Amino acid sequence: MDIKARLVVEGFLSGLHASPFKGFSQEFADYRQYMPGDEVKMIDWKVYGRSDRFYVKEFQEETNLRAYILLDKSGSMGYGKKMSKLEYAKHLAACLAYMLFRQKDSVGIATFDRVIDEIIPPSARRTNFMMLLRTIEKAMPAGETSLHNVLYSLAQKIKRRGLVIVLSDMFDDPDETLKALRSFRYRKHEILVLQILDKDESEFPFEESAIFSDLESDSEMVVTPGLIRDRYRQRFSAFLNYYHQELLQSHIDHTVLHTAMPYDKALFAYLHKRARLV
Amino acid sequence: MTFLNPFFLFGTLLVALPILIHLWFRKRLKRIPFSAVRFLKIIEARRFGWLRLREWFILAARCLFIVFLFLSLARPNLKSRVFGIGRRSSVFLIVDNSYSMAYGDNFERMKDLALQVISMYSSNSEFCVVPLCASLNNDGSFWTTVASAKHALDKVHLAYGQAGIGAALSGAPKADAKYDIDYVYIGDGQVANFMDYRREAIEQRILYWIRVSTGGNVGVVSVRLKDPVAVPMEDYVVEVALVNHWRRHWSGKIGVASGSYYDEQGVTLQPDAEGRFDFRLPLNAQTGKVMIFDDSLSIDNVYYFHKRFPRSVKVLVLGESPYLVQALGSESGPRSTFLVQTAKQLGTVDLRRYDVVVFDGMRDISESERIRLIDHLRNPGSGLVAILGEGFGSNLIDFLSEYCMVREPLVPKGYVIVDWIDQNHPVFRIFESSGALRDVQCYGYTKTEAQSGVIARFSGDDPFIVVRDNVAVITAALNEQSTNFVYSRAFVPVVLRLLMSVVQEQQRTEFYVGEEVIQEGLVKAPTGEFMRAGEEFTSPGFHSSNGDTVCVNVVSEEGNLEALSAERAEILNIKEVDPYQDLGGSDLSSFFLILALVSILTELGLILLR
Repeated sequence: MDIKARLVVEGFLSGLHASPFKGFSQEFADYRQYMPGDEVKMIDWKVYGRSDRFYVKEFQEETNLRAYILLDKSGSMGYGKKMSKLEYAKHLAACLAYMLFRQKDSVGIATFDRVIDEIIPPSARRTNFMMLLRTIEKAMPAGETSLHNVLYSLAQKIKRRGLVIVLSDMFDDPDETLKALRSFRYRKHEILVLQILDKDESEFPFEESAIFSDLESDSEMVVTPGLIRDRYRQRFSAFLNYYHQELLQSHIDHTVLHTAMPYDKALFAYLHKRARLV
Repeated sequence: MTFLNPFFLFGTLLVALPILIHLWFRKRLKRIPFSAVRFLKIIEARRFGWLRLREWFILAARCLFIVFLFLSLARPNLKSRVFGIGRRSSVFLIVDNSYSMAYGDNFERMKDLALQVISMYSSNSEFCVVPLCASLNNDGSFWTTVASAKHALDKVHLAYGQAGIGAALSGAPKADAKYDIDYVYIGDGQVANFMDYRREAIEQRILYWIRVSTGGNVGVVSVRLKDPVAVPMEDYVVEVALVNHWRRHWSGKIGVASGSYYDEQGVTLQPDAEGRFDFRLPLNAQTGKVMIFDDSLSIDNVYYFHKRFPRSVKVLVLGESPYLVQALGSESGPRSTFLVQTAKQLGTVDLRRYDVVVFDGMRDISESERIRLIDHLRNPGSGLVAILGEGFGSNLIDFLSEYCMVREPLVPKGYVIVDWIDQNHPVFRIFESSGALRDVQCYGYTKTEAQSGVIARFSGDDPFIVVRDNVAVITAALNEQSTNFVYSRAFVPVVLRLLMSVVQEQQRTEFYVGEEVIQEGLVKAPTGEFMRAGEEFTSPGFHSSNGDTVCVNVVSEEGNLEALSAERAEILNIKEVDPYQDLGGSDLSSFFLILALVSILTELGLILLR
């Protein structure tokens, strides 16, 4: 998990043309020769006075950001053909943790289904990061979703404001879930909702009549997909839009991810959020 | 509920088919674990429960379709009418207007039942009312409405004539019937009514019979001569035995008609009991009819009898006494009862020419005569009357001893009228030597069957009479004073007795319906045609054979009209029904067919309804 996350993040970062994070920290790191494109304000004029050369200062990144990754491991997250949503979410969580760790931010994690399964408080230490990875790795899909209850519970537990990253399919009562998320906002947390879905869920591509059994409960129903596909899609789309609209209104970032997508979108979403936090 | 085509009920077992298919398809469906079932449920939120129900409804509708379809094909019939609406049918109604229905209020009851039958069917049914004894030609029958049927019924009156259900059915307008035809006969169902009925006439369907019970049910068991010993010279007594098959007390009249003679008497019979009634007929009135005045005109209530000897009795009187010849000679001509010839000695007379030989005061016979007499008496239809005088020889005693020997104790049976036995009487020696009277005890009066040996001893100066087989021995000699006695109480009855036991048994003059004619060209039917050998007597009445009358009657047990008609009906597959329960009713086949259609339409609707 560590290696995977490292590869993904490093690959992702090397593809970026400019780091939006350079120079934001307070602790000096090194000098380097001025290169065209560097901001003029970054030139150390004292060094120029001594050496008649343009050098710019580089700073060790430093932050007091506390990030909480909330990983939904309920039964519905186990769905997926090549890769389950949980697998995707786990990789993404690892990536995000790695990025945060790399930035010396404190990162913690909570896995949950109906209730909180495991929680690791945020820390910037490597041992914490390794524990975090192990926790991510252990997460297996099981149980029913009760996202809003878990969010309420976590909102109570997390005292210090920080960034809350929710990795879930959000298959819960939207209104209750939104209320719970707003309670985080009320406590001045920044929230990034990464809604992870499978293509099947949004497109419902099934053809033959079948018995669809719920991953989280015993309920099942005989469905002829062709007869309900359109209505299903409409309904699902309305579900996503509702979330999106409501979350935006609540100043909560919301990104829908499909398991077939590269992790970039999620990481961009994070960086975008991160940039706004600074 | 009854089913006209119960075989189709097996078809309802096919109901298992859709259930099996349903289960098989359900098993065949792929099971897909899915994370967003909640959205499927939301989409079907209102219909999810309904969908599950719908699935069961479709299955139920499919099963019901099969059940109802086959129930419909089985043609269920309810005895009671559903919603007061009877079955729609074409009803061919035969109403019995023969005179046998004239008894009591039978005819009115029949009409009431007919009205009841009409009302049991749907008012849209069509009816054809046909009287059994129709003065009109049945070919003109046509289907009518309820009102017309009631009107036609109103116009039915009692009628004479040939009454046959077959004839009535022959005019049924089958081709014009709009619905299935119900054939219904209302009447007493006398056997004669069923005689011409053939099931083919109604294309193997069932003829429903609503029985109007017969007025009475009394039959003649037998008409026979009363004990000949008691028969006087001028007339004789026939005993008419009746049986009441009815479960009720019966009071009525019986009449006996023979030529110009007619007599009748009122009788009363207990339920299921027999009664015997005597009629004193003149000696020359030996053929006639016994009529029971019960439910009128019924062929079963007339009994034809014939008590005439099949031929004149040829009597040979041997002896000197003129009294007997004078007495027997009062009748003359070829049809007279006795043809008398006389001879002083047996001598060489050809005994084969005579039925009865009479010893009138003969004292003895020779050995050769004794042997000839023995040979003669071995012939069927021959007899001997020995009127003994004061004394007789040993040959005669030896000869008569054979016949006077009583081989069985006479008490308590035996035909005995004995006041006392005169042990000094010479005849007594006959019995004494045989030992026959060793155990005889004297009773005032005891009686057995006619064929038994008879010993009679009349009180006072009356003669002592022994009759055994075809020999009678009378101990008194005939004289001017005893002539009347002999005729009235001894000789004639004894001769009649002999003929009854010998001659009459040889040639029966009474037959019963159902018996076969044995010899071709012997018996003439009342129509005048000779009956063929093996042909059955089908109707009671006088037939003739070689100029003599032959009587054919209904067997007394078969005189049980109700039992007889029920038996005949069963043979002919005529179904006796209760109009209130078995007729009309409701044919539920259409009802079930509609239910089947509703089921299939419901199923289609459910399939289309999503």
